[in-house]
Amino acid sequence: MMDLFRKLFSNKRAEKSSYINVFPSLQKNKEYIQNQLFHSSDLKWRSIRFNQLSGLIVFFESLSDQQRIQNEIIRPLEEKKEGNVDAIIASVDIAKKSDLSQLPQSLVQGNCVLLFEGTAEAYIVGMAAENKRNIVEPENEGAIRGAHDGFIEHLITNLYLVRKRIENPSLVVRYYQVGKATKTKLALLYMQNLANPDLVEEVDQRLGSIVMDTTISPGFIAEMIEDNPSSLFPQILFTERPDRAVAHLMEGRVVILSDGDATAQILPVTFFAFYQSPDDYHSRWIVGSFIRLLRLVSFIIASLVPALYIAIIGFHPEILPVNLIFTVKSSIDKVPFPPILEALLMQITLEVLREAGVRLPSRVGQTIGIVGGLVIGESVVRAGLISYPMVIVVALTAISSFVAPSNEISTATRILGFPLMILAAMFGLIGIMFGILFILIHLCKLESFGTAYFAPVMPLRIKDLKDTFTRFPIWSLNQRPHDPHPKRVNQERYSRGWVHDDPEKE
Amino acid sequence: MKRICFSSTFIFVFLLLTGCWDQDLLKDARLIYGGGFDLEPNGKILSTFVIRDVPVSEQQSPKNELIYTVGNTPREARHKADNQISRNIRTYRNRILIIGEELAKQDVHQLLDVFYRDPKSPFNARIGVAEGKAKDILSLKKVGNVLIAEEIDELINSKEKTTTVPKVTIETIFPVMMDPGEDFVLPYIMKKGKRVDVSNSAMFHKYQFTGTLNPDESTMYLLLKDEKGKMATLTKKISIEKDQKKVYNFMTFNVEKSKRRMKVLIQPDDQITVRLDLKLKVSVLEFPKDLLDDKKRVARLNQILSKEMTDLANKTLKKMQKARCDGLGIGRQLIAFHPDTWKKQKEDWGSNYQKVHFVPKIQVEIIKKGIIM
Amino acid sequence: MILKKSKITQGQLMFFVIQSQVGVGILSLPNKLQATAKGGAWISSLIAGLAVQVIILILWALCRRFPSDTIYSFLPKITGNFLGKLLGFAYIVYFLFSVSTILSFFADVVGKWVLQTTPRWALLILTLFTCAYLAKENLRVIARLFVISSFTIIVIVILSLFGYAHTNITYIFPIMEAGWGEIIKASNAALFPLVGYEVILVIYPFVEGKSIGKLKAASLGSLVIILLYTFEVFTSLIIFSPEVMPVISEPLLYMLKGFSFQIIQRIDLIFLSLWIFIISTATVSWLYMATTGLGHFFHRGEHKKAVPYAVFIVFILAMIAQDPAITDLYDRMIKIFHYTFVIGLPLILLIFSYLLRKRGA
Repeated sequence: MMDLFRKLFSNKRAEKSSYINVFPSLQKNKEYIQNQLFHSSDLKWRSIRFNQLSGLIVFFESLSDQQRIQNEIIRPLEEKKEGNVDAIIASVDIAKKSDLSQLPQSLVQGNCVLLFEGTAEAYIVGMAAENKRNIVEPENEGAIRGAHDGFIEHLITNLYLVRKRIENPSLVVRYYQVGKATKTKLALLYMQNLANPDLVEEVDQRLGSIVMDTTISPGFIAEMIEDNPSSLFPQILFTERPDRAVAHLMEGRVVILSDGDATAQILPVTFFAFYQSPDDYHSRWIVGSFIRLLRLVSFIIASLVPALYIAIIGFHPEILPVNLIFTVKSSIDKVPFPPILEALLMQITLEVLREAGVRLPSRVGQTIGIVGGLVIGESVVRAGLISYPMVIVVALTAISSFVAPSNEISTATRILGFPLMILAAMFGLIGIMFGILFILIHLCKLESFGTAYFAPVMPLRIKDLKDTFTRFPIWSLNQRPHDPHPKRVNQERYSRGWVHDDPEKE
Repeated sequence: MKRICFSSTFIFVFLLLTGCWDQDLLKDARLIYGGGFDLEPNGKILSTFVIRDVPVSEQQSPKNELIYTVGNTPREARHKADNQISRNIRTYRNRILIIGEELAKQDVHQLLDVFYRDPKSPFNARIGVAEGKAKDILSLKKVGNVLIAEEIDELINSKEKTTTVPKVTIETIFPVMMDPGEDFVLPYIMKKGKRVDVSNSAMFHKYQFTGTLNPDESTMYLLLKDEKGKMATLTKKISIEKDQKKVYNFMTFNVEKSKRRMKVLIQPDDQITVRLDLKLKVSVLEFPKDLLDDKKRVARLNQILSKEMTDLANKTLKKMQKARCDGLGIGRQLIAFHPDTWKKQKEDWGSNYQKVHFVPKIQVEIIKKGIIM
Repeated sequence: MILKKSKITQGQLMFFVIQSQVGVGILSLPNKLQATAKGGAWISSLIAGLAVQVIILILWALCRRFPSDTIYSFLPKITGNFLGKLLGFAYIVYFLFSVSTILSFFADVVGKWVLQTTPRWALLILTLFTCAYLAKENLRVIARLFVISSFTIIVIVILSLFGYAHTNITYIFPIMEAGWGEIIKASNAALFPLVGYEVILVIYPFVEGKSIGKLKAASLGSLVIILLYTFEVFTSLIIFSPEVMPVISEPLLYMLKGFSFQIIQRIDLIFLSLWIFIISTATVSWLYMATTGLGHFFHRGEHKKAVPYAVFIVFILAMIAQDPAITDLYDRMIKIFHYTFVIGLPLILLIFSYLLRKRGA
């Protein structure tokens, strides 16, 4: 592993060492750059005279801000006619390079290159255009109360959103470039005084070991650095909410932001982090606890109820009490399929409907509601293909699974239901129990970046349970969650000290 | 990767081999709602099965279907019934089991064996003894608008609450039936014209039906056994002065609280004396004759009621002793606390039980009078 | 020698002992004890618990002398290389045998109560597959699951509390009906359902902390189980009359069968489902003990590699035990094994190691 790693590094160094001096001749430089960029049509040139030398401004019209080039480079140079280039150009980011081979890369990054006849140096001026969308609330992670901003595709803005919330010098940002071809920019964020150094080192190492041409979505990165990529459970929390990312940073976790994507990746997280939402902390703690419990219950419902239904209808109808059994029986008597087939059919229909709903433009989306809800839901029962209880079960499953604040876990729970259904169809309740046991074993095996995935339940840490199944009042959460092994555990002492020093009482 | 391949192949093969061995689909079941067993003259068992069919559409009401079969055992009879009806007969939601009088006089334990042996049997089904034949009662099909088995089940349920019949299921009589020191009592189901009446109780000795208790007696028995339901209403004749009109001479009262103490005493000559102290706190529901504003009168009434109740208790206990039904578990007390006496008596506990001397003492106290004086 | 990653805490040791001890015994113990001890059966199980505490003390004293060795590595140190290895193998056989007895009993009960027609092999494969999935992990992961699955014990206790709706306390009287002799004899029988504490022979070196703390954890875990068993025996005794008890082999399930809640009937099914957790953890614990030995001898301490064929052996053994005659044979063998390997041999080894002043580093 390490050998491979070292080899890769040495490769990179070898690539870099093809050093070419900037030619004194403008023409030669121009030719070189053009060849390197394969005469791309959006490469622009502009001649200029300065200090009696003919110069050349090179930039990509698609990447650089032409307005700024005009204001900050061309106009000062034209006006002053002579002088020191560094002093005249009014730009923050300016550098001198004598390595010609680096120029195409800086051009691709949106920089503007300034060359002069007879000078073996090139000025690289940061003129990247900033075309970014507005900061809006992420659509699929809405919150009722609290901050309504969300990450966008622009890395620097995202960093701004985080830094603005943590005005603390301990917040560290480290840049990485992954993707040999795409050179995607990543930023690793952590709190120096909280995050466990072993964790940071581990993440650093794993990020460094990514060798791949393209890294488009954060899913790529997640899959590269996850401990158990073949597990059904997501081990990295994706979020578009800066407040969520910040909350996790302050628990000693690490956040990875990537340029060109609005998703922040939080790690290491536990299973329960997927069931927490910033909303919990904005509502009163009893309400928050109730809602959180509800979500966890809905996880159980979503993964278990279809299997339970199959087991009961197919294996142990004697579990049902007398009134219920006749009601259920009357409605399933005419169904031609065995329950497992019935359930699979409905579950798959549901998945198809959901997927179609995501893909369809919102104007057509209503059709799906009608087709799915009315046509399939109602007619399938009318036709006697599926029984009413099964429709109820499937609907319940779907609704419960969508309760999860994270889309990844909600899909995972529904898929989790399938093996359980098959086990239920084979062994009834006993099969389900073995299925649950298997899942529990799996969850207790899973570790992500040295953190047990099912903490604080496995391994059990009762103090942390306060903020897991329920949400205790914030003043009672004196310690940070233990699972990311933060450097400092205490986060709060006694913030309600005022309760006791009330002079009126005397 | 190899591991994943291995596991998925494993799972796949497993799936192919699956036969859903124990599948027992609800939709393929014909559910028995109630059943009855009678003795045929030739010694075989006549079984009556009440099968409930629920129609698909909501408008139609459920229907009962009755099947009669004869077999050597209940199980055989059930198999025969299965041959006569489509899909599979399933008993797991059986609510009520009625045993015909003649059959109950044989061995109930052997009859119920299948219920105790089968893990899917309806363990919490109610059980009762029919006056005459169970078949005749179940053949009523409908009582008013309610289907027969349901009617009986609900009737027994409500009678349990009024302390008229004992609260028993197939499960709860099992340990009692097997215990030599205790006998059980079941509801006694009678056919009254087109209706069913559940108010009497059937007494058993060991595994055999030996006699019945009338409604008052069975309430008294349950009070003596300290198994009061939600209510226990009795009507007693009150005769303070002799020259009263006969019609409104009664008082109906409900036992609000009852407290029992039972003491088994052994005399040196092995005479067993059982002291039964029962303290009843009652509320008057109906007493048209008189007002209850006078403390003295209330005290007098208490006395009269106590005497009446003690008489009733004596009558009940006599009847039970005659039927050899040790429903109060005197034998059980002997086993537990006087094992030596029990050893001597256990051989013929049935007749020894008849010699037990009961001393019931019942104190009644009126605590509520309703909203008038 | 022992990786930090596989170290467990003393609390985890306690749960490990708990989960190894609760097994198949809980269902059939009341029936077995009542047969000899009658109303005093619950005293028998308490006496057996006392005996278990003494045995734990012996095992602990032995392990304490070799704080960084499992039984497989300290046996050769006491008895010499050849004999030590031989005894080590004998222990492996004992452990594998125990797993298969547990499993065959499990398959019997499930076959009786729930899945009457499901073939035994299917059930065994399902169980063993799940158990092997856990058994191949390191000790820490196993311990984590054991801690969580111990919560099922609480649920089981709550479920049995429902039984108190129809109790008759006089069923246990006269307590001394059978006499002390029989009660002690019955407590001998109660020793076997309580097996599992010998897990400390194997996991002792993996536990963090001082040796006295380990003893406390192990005996506390064992105490919990003894109390649980006594409670269940007592509950069964006061629910079923003495004449019924010999008839029903799983009193706990039997009493739950008749109960019903508003929406669920047949609570015994729920109980059985939870019991699966208990059985599986016990199986995993024994499997772990056996495979640690196999790993020690054949795979340089990697017990993971021994899991597949150990599971296979167990499967075969459990398949053979379908016949009641063979099950009886297994039972008798387990008893002999138990006396020799858990009580006799450790005592001898302890004395030897004292006499020869052998100690681990």
